[in-house]
Amino acid sequence: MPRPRSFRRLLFLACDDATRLYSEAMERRLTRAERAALRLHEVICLGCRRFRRQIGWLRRLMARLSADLPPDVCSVPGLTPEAKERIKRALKG
Amino acid sequence: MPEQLDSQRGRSPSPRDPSTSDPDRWVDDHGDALYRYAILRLRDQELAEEAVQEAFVEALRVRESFAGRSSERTWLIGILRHKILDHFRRRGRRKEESSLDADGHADGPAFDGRGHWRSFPADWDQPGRDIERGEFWAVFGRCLDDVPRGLADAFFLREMDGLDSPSICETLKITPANLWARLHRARTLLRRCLEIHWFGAGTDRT
Repeated sequence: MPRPRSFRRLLFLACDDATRLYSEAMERRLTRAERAALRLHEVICLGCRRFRRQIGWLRRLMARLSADLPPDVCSVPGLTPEAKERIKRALKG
Repeated sequence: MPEQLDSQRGRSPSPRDPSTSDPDRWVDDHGDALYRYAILRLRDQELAEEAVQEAFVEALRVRESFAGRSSERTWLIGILRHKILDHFRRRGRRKEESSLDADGHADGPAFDGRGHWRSFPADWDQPGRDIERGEFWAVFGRCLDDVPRGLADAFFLREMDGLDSPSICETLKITPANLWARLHRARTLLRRCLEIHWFGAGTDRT
């Protein structure tokens, strides 16, 4: 993405740039101009407001997977019996 | 306390201390869960089995350090995560990832040529309401599997492992701008996939 962005480009932010900035706001501190542009865009764009909420929700959802996976997330049931035996043998030294 | 954690999760009623318990039982109790975690991250049976085995061997080596602050499962998953990270560090950047544009879209580009929404985001009314159901996680799992690998690797490191940008860039040997682009693409694809397959708004176009 081109940076620094022109004032004009920020003032007339398109939705694709706005969503990119919402994502980047989760990774870095936006510049003051970028924040102002998003605030302005948000007022007029319901879709981008939804996008921002939804990716925030996605982040919280992913955090729940970090400690342990709900079994249904994965289509495979688990280790094959052979793999289990192999691992047990490895653990015996 | 481990007792509390495990009773909440409805798992084995008497969690044993791994520093004294039988490693064979670890494999029986946690092997499948560890494997599922590894396959989600590595997408390869052989690599996943290898990572799980390495994690169990490492757990045996450091079992004295188990402090009882977490459940046995959480402790083991933590060790597995480090093994998966080691794998990414060893591997570095994948050749086929040099072009992000080659990666697919869930249903074509999200925006038209002028940067406007092609499929306007739907209203996800109270999205958290139904997620305790297994079906939700099955749909979400399929959406995660559909995210192209180079994007998914970065996304998991960020959102599951909670690594910061510099660590991920170092691990995957990519620049911050490239990382942000990958994360954004992954979020966009996942959001759209859930919207189509879970929130049922696939035909809603304005």
